[in-house]
Amino acid sequence: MKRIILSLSVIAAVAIGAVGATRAYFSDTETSTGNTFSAGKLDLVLGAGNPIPFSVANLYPGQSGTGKVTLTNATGSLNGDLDVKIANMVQSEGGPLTDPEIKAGDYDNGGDLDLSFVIAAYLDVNRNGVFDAGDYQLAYGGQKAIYPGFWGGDFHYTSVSNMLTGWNDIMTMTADQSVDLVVMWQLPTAWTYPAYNQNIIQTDTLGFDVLTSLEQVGGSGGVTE
Amino acid sequence: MKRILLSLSVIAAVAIGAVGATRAYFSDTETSTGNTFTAGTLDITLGTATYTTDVTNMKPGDVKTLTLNVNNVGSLPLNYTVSTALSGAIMSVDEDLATSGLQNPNAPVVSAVRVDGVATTTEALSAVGGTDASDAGEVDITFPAGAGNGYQGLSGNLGVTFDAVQQ
Repeated sequence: MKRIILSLSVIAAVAIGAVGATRAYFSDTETSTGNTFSAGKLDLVLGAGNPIPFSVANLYPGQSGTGKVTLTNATGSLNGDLDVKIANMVQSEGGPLTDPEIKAGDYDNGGDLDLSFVIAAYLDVNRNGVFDAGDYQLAYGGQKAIYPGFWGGDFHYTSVSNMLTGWNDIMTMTADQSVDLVVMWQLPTAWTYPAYNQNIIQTDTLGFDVLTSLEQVGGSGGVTE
Repeated sequence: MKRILLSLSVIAAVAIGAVGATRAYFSDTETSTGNTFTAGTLDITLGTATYTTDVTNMKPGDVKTLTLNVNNVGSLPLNYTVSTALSGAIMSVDEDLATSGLQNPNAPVVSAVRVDGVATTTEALSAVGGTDASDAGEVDITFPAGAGNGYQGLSGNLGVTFDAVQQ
């Protein structure tokens, strides 16, 4: 008997619920609008270089120079990790072999300037034109180190072909921050390869691209060519 | 066993996370292209050498002048030095002196070297196309008046070398 009563009460409750569901209850709906989600922006801008891109002609041993280009996390709302890579190195003999090149034993092997021409690079974070506190040295093989770098504030120049690895996640650039990428070059008189006469580099050309990339902090790093 | 499975599942999750980290991040890349360096040329040529007068019939006391133009055909300015060397049978007539290593006082000598009329052995040339890309070199050979009959019919060679280096 008790079970029967319980069953009836359940039925009654369900019946009441069913009736309630069909009746016109007052209701009101409000919507919170204007909740927007917008993606941030990472926009790396290369400023006017001086004199990057380099265009140096009529080089001869003993010459040297410095160039810089300003990198800006422009109108960005996000911080970004900076990557830099020197890539696409090309060489050529720069035309027919000259008489001194031939006398030095040169032949058309696609250019020899990389045997002698050397560079060094750093990131001038405070943009004061010198390698000092807070700056990052960019050395061969993708190595990077904050000042004083690997050699007590000094630089070891090396060939462009030794600088093609790329430097990943050098530093985090905050929104609207600018830094200068400084590339120094030398064509030394001290000939690295004494078996050859340095005349073999006459008229030769060497070119490269400088790739810079800003990637959202936490990204995988590395410049995508 | 349960712990091992749990560990594996954590590793799997991390691995998936690592894969995910390489994808779909914001990035921007800018490239500075066309950075070129070109070496210049340092190259000289010599014009045809000419003597002011006949040198096939010299006699003691004669002074003969060789004129030789040097031209910079390279793109770099340069400095050069002129050096001379005499050789041949006429330079070793006195065998006693020659074997002793001494210069025969009556052998022909280079008595003067001039560039554009000025006595010097060093000079500069501007790059090809410049205002001073060519010089006229002059070398005087003096046949001493004291030379005797032993020199008759003998000949010698004059070598003139221009060594150019970048400035």
